Amino acid sequence: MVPLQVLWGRVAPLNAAANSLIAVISISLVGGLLYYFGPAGRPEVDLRFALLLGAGGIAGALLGARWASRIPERVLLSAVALLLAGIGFRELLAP
Amino acid sequence: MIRDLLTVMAGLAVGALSGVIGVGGGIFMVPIMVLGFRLPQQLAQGTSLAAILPTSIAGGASHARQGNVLWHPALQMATGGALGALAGSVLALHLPHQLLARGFGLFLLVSAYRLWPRGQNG
Repeated sequence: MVPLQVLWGRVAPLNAAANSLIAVISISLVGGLLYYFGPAGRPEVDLRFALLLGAGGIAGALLGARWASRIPERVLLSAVALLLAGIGFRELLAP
Repeated sequence: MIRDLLTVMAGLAVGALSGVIGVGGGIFMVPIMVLGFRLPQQLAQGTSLAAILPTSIAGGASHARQGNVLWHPALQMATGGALGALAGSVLALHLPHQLLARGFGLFLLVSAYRLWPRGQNG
């Protein structure tokens, strides 16, 4: 959502990030409710797990924002891309 | 206890990565839950959505207080996103979990390609 707003909507990156977070509230709320109450016949949400992950996530996001300027972007993006590619192949070939 | 600690640490790692590179947390959370904690794909996806909600509320509220939100486009995206989440979630909940996992794997490969740095910058 952020790149689309910046490139097509000519929105400043900071505003684009802020707008995206508002949209993610809606997406995660609707999606979460459907997974919990939806057609599967049982909740497909582990609330305890979500709470623990979310708590760690908030703390991590604060740390990440501090570290963002210290790590060369190319290095980080390359490492993350390789990691995602590895996981992607794993899920694709042996789900 | 150990599992709880590992879960918080996983959240910490995901949050830190998201904070550094600005990519959403779900792309990391779901594989960690499926491959690391052996959750079924649908359960991992639903749990990821629930985990992202408080983080996005906190971040969105912070940005709103600072006046960074452009409310008209933000609410348009929120409305579209809600409709997309409705359709996507219903579809995902009806798919066989292996097919869903393979689809997610394909999505990760595309994301990896798009994240790969290009050009001389960095």
